[in-house]
Amino acid sequence: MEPASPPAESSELRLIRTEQADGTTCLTVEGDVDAITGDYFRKTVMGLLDDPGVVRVQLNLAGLQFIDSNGVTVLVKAHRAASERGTNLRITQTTDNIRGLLELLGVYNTLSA
Amino acid sequence: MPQRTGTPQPSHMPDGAHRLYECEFTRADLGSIRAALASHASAHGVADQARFNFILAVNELTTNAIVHGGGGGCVRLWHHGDALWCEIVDTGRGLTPAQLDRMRKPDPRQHGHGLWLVKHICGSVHIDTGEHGTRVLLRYPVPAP
Repeated sequence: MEPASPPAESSELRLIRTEQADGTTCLTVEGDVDAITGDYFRKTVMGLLDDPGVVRVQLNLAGLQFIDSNGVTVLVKAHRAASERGTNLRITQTTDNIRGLLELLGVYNTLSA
Repeated sequence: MPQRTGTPQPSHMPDGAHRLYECEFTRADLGSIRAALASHASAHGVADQARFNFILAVNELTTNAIVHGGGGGCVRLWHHGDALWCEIVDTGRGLTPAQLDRMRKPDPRQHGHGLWLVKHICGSVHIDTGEHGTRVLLRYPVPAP
C-alpha cells in the first residue's frame, strides 16, 4: 500500500525507505512528527510491518527534529506489533533531545534494543 | 490542581510582564508556533533539552486544543520575573475528568499521556476547564541572566 502523501503545512516530515545489503529495511525520519504529519508517520511505519518482505527494521532518527506524545505512541505500538510478528524493530541515532523525551517516558531502552 | 468550571477565567498578565507572542491558531500553525517559541526561548537563555521540553509541553496543549477544543485556540507567551509564561485557551467542550486523570501517570502505549508530560515538564500548570472551553497557564523558569 502506498503511504498517504506528506501534507504541505507548517510542519514537514520526510520518510525515506532504503533496503540494506544485510536485509534490514531502514526508514530515515527527517523533520517533525506532530498532529499535521502524524497520520503519514503512522501509516508509513505500520505499513512496513504489513510488508512480508520486511524482516528487520531500523528507524534512523538522526534527522528527527520534533516528535509529540502521539508520535511516541506510534513508535511504541509499532515496536509491539513488530515483536508480535517476529520482526526486530529498533530506533537508531536518536538525538539527545528526543532520547531525553523517550527516557522520560520510560521507553528508550525498549525502542533502541 | 485542575478545576472544572463553566467558562475559562479571563487571563491575567501582570503589570510589568513583557508580551512576546500571540497567535490565534488552527492545526496548520503547529509548526510555526514551535518555531516562534524556540526563538523566544533561546532569547531568554533556555536551550537544549529545556528548550525542547518547553516546546513539547506547549505543543501538547495546542494539539489538545485542536483535537478536543474545537479545532484551535489562542496561544500567548510573555516573560515576567524569572519565567516564561504561556497560556493556551480554546473554546471547545473542555477536558473530561478522565483526561485530567491521565495527568497522574504516563502510559506511552496509549494516546493521551500528553498532559502528564506537560505537568512533569513544567511543574507549575494551572488548568481551568469547563463546558465552554479550557485555559491552561504554564510557568517555565528561565536561567538567571
